[in-house]
Amino acid sequence: MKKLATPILALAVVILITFPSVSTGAPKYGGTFITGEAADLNNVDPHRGVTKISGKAFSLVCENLVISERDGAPGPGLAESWELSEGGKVWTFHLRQDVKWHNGKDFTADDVKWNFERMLDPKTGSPWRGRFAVIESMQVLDPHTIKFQLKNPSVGFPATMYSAGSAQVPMVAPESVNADGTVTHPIGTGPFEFVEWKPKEYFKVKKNKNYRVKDLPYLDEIIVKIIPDETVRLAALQSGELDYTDNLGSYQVEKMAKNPPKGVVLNMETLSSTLFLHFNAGQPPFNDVRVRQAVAYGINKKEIVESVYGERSMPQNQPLVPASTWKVDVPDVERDVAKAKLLLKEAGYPQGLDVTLSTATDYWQYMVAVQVVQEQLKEVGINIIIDASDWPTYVGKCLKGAFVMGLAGWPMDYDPVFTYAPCFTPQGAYAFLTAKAYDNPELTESLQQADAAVIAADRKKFFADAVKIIVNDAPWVYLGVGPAPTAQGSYVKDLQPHISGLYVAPKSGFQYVWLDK
Amino acid sequence: MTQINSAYAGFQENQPRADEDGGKVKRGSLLWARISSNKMLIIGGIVVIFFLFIAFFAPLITQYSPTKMDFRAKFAPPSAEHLMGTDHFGRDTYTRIVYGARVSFQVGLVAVSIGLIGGLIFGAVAGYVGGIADDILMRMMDALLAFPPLLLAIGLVASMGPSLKTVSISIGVVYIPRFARVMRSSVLAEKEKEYVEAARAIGQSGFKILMKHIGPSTISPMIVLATIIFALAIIIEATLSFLGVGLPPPAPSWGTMLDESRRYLSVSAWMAVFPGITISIAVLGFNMVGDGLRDLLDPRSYN
Repeated sequence: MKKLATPILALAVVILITFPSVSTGAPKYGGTFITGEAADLNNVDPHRGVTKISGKAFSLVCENLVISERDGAPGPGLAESWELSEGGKVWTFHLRQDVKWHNGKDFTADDVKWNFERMLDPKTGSPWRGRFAVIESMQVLDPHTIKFQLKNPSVGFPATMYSAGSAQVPMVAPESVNADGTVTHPIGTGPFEFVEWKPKEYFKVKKNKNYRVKDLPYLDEIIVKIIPDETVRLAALQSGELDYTDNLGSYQVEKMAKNPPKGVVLNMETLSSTLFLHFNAGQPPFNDVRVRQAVAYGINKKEIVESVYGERSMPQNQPLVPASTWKVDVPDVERDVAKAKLLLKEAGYPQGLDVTLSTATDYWQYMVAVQVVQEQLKEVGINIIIDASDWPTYVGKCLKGAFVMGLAGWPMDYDPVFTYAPCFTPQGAYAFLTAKAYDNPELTESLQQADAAVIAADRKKFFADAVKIIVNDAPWVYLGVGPAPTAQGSYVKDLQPHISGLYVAPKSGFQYVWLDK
Repeated sequence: MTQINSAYAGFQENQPRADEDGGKVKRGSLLWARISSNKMLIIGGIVVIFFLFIAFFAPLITQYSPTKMDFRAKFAPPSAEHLMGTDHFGRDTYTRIVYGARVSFQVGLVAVSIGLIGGLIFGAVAGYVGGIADDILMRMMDALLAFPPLLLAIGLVASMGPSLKTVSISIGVVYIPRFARVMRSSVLAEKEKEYVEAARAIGQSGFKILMKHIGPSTISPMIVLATIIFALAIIIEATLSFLGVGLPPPAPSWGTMLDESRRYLSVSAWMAVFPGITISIAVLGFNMVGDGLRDLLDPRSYN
């Protein structure tokens, strides 16, 4: 016995040494995950979610046919595969067969049809109506196959079903809708189930024990707390009140990253929305393309985005995620003060002019950007008067056309199918941002051709033509993006940030997160 | 008793007695003695005059523009080139502080003027006419007084849209009731005095009585209140700007500077230090002047 003691002891020691390093690698189940969000939702009806936070929150509870991957590219969600026919006029989606709603019922193609019908119904008031206006009819071929018949060929149709940058286009169970048509308890298929929403305070979800991906999620509960001020959020994270937060100021995070506080992990990968200027093209001065071009030549995009986002900012002339394969190589406008002044003179403003620039106070990024724009355009002779109000007021002004020039952010897309057409064609869902007055038939045609181009190379060429026109006509001027840094406690494991900060993506997101404490 | 009367009267009457030149000098030096022994007034006065000076001579004592951005010089700490460092846009902090004094004085002057004139009219009419007019006017004043000043100011500015004009007017309107009350109580105190009765008896119009007889005795409390309200106006303007509902950019308001510094506190704490100290000193100065003046002018607190 004594002779065996030592080897057994040695073996025991070896096992004890190696075993812990194996077991702490395995995700632990359980725990409550508290995140801090900048803005609040408007409601808990996923078909009426308007803002990015709605998209993020609902993505925990609902999924859609096509889902945004981590880098923004489209990936299979509730639809396993899809194919086009008739040049893109008909799309057939094959749905997963193993999905159940949170109320236990099976997810079927009839549910999908019901969802789109509800979104297209004017009474619902869904912001997705414009996106799906291209749908002519839907046909359920069998419980897991659905066919969409479109009014015109659209090669990018599947890309309209999701968003790389903001709100998803979620599927909810018909039972979610109350008798009066409202939704107060959305039933989805996602990794978490809706628990409650306390307006201006928090949004709570709990684990979906029957999620279609086995063994996921790990967390028991997620609470999304609404904390508008990013300095407060960062402080709350450092004190341990929050486990994760995003949309922090790049300057503080950059500074912090040089000397990271204990127990906090910072990440600069997530990007913001693309800042952009938009003009009322229906009245002077911006009904004259030369005045719009004067602004484009008068600003210095790099300076603007750098002021807001720091060194890692990127000026852009297309609001697409870096990973997008649809980015085209169109040279951007370089700052030229002399040319800007000349354009103004030609347009009839040799002494310069006063311009009111509207924006929203809720977003410090916009407030910083407008000040830089104001300063830069002074040199050109344009005297900018800043008109800043809260977000709903600003949006209201835009909707009524009661603005001259505005500054806001556009969540980045992967596929431009819904990026230019809704903004720069008179019937587009977002045409109100040019007061519905911008109309260039050449641009409209390029976009239509892009929609119908089945061969990728052709499609890219048409987009290139479109972007060239947009840069030249300048109904909007895209400014650029920068990091919207995130921070998390070091005990938060396996949280891989999405390029736009979305909470759930097929192979990354909160359903994979576990807490090591 | 006689001493008190003469000291007080010496400040009140602005016309020297025709017979006593020496008397005037004696009264003047007594006044000066009172002023110079009043430490609050002296120190506060120095601060106020200092800010008045820098506000007036702003372009002469600064070399940068308060709004020009210089992105290569962002977040600079105090140095020879930038005495107080720079902000997130590379603007020179010292220059913005100096021009901020202008902003504060403009707001303060307009606000106090509006408060003073409005309060004067309401208070004088209410006090002198009395009766229903008094009731109505004072209830209006009470209604305004029911609001916390800051919230009322925010509401007024929000309804008119923020600008230098609307901020000054809003703050002025907020403080009209306080001036009105002081005016009214002064008028009431004087109204029943014999010399007023005598003036009425010989047929002088109410307006003339107010102007020539009652008026002068209401000046001192109004002046004291004006200096206090000036300080409050500066604070409210700074608070409004700090909350983002004050002067729109690129106005160099001390409050705005403080607000902007919040986001960058970890990057450059200097951005917060200078506007904060400046606001504190300016407000302290005005409050001290107010206290000092009240001590000086109030006959009951003669020491």
